[in-house]
Amino acid sequence: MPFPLITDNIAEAILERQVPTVTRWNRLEGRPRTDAFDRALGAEVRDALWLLTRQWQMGEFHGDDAASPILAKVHLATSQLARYRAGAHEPEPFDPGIPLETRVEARAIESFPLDLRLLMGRQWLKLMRDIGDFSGEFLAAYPIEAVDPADAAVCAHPEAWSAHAAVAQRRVDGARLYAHLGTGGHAWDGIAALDPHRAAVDERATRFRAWFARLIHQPGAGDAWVPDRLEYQFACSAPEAERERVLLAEEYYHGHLDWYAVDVGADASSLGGPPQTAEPATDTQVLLPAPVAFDGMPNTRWWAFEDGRTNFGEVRPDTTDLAKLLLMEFALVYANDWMLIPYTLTAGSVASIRGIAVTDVFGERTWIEAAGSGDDADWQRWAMFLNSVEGEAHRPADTTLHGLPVAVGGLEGPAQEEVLLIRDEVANMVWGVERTIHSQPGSPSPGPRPRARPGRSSNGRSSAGSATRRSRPPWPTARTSAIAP
Amino acid sequence: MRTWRIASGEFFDGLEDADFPVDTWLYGVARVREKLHAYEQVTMLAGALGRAEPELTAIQLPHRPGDRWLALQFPDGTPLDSDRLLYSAHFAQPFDKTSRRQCGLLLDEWTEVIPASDTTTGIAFHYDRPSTEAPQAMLLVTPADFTGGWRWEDLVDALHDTLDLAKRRAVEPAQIDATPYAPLLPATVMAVTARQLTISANLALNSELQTIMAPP
Repeated sequence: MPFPLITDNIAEAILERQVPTVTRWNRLEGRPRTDAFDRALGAEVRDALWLLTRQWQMGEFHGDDAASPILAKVHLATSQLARYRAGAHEPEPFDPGIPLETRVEARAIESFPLDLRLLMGRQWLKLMRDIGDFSGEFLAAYPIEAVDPADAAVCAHPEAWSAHAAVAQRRVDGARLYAHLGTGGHAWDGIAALDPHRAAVDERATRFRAWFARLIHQPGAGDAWVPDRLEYQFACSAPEAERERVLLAEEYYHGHLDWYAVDVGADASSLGGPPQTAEPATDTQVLLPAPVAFDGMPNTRWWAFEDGRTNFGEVRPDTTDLAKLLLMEFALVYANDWMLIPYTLTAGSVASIRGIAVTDVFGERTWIEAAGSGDDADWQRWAMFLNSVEGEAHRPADTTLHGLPVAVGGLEGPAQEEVLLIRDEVANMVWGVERTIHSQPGSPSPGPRPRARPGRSSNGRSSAGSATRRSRPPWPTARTSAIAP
Repeated sequence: MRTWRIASGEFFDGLEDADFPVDTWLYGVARVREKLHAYEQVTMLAGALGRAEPELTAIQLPHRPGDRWLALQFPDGTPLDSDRLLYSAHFAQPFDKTSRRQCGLLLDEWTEVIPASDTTTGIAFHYDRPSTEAPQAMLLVTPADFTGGWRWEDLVDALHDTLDLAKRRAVEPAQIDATPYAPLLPATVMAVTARQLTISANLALNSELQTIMAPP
C-alpha cells in the first residue's frame, strides 16, 4: 500500500511552503521482556559484562553461609551372612559362593526328564572310557526304557514320543544309575566284566555323583517353595554382638532377588537354635566425598554446557505421579548438594554405619544422621530406600545395607510351565488353564489350544481376560499348583 | 604368531570338574539356551543312532598366557580386567588356516556377566554446599595512577565497580521511566516529520500509523 502522507515533490513543497513541517522525535526503547522464554533460556552470549550480569541474576554471586565438605570420617560395622533357612526347614550354613537366587529357587528333581537322563548316561560312559569300552554292558543294565503306550505324558505329544523312541534301548539312562548309586549300590553290580576294575569304577562313581551335584544345584535340607502361595519363603541371618540379625523374605516371587525382597525380622533373635553371635568387624576410614553426578544432572553454573541425552525437564508427571515428582525434585533442585563416598563391600555382608563426621573447608565438623532414622512405626517418618522391619511395633528404624550375594544378569531359559489362573465370580470357581506344559524331553511345549483360534500363539502374552472368552474352559480345577522350572 | 589357542591343558587347571569341562559347560547352558538344547539333542541322537558324536572345542580370545577358561569356575585371584570371547565350536574338519574360504553355522551367541565377590557401594549424604560460582569473565585491572605498586583498595573497588557495571548492564527502560533521566535515556532518538519533508526514520510505520492518519 502506498504511503498516503508522502510528498511527491519535496522541492516544490518546501519552496511553496505547502504544508507546515514539524520535526518530532521517535525514541527506540528496547524491551527485554517477553512472554516466551525460549530465547532467554537459550543463554545467548554477548559482551563480557553480560556474562557477569547473567551470573549475578542467577544468584551465582550470592554469598551463602555454607562451606564445602572436604573430609568424611566413616565408622562402619560389617558382618557376613552366616546362616540360611529355606521355608521352615532347618537352618544351614550360608555359602556366599552360590548366588542366592540359585539357592532360594532350587527345587529337588522329582522325576528326571529325558535330556538329563541322556546327558548323565553320556557323562558316565565317557568317564568309563579310559578303563575300557563297557557301553554294551551298561546299555544292557541301565537302558532308556521303551515308551510305555499307557504313558500319556509322552505318547500324547509327537515330539516327546519321537525323542523317546529314538533313544530307547540305544542310550544309557544315567539317572537310573545315579539312583542306584544313591541307594548305596555300586556301578559294577551285576556286570561281571567289571570285576577286575571294581576300585577304579567306584572312584569314577564318586566323581560322577560329585559332578552331577555341581551341575544341578538341588536344595539340601528342604526347598523354599510354598506351593499354595506360589511364592518362595526363606530367611538368612548374620551374627551380631548379642543376637542374630535375621532377614526374612516372606513372599519372594519376582525372579530377581534384591535387598527389597527381605525384611528385618523384629522379634527373632535367632534363625533357629541358639543364636550365633560375633562382634561385627568395624572399619574407620577418612575419605574424600565427591559430588553425586548422574546423567542429565543440571549444572548449577549458568554458563556451562550440559549433556542433553537425559532431559529431566521433559519428564511430564501427572498430578498423582509422586515418585516422578520426587525424582525430578531431587534431580533438578537438590542434586548438587549430595555428596558420595565410595565404599567396597564383599558380597553377602550386612553393613551398618555407626557414624559419619564431615569436615568442611572452614574446619567445622558436622555429625550426620541417617535419613529415615527414628521410630519405625512413626507414620510421618519417611525415606525412600529403607528396609522394613517386620511388624507394627514401635522400634528403631533399620538403616543397614544388606548386600545379598545375588547374580546380576544370569541366563534364564524359556518358561517350562505356564498356568493361567482365572477367577469366575459368577460360577464361584477358579479355572486353571495350562498354556505351556513341561514335556518329557525337557523343553516346554504348548498346551491344548482352542480350535476356534488356531493361529494363537502360546507364548502366554494373551491376558487372562481373553482366555475367559472361550465358552468353556478345558477343565475346571479348584486349585492348580504350578511347578517351578 | 599364535593369537589363539585351543583351550586345553592349563586352561582347565584347578577345575573341580576336571573331566570333560566343555561337556559340563554345554550341559549347563543347554538347560537355558534353546538352541544349545537342540545341539545337545543332536549329540545324543548321533550317539544313539551309531554316528560319531560331535565334540566341541573351546577357544578363548584374546589369548593370554596362563589364562583360565572363564566358562566354568576359575581360581581365586584370576584377574578379570577385560572382556573375553569364549568361542566354542565343533570343527567338522580340522581348521585349516591356509584355506581362504571358511564356512560354518553360528548357532547361538550371548553375553554373560561373572558375579564379583566385591561390590562397590556408595554412602551418600546431603550437605548444603554454597551455590556460588566463579565469575565467567576475566577482569584486567590497571592501577589508577602509576605509583609503581598496587593498593588493596584499588583492587577491591575495581571489583565492586565491575559488579555495579554488571548490574547496570541489565537496566531496562521501565526502570529509568520513574527517574529524571527518563526524557533523555535511552538516547536512541530519530527525527521524524509527518509529511516526509526531511530525512527521517518513522518507526510508527511498523504500527501502520499511515492508515490512521490517512485522509479519508
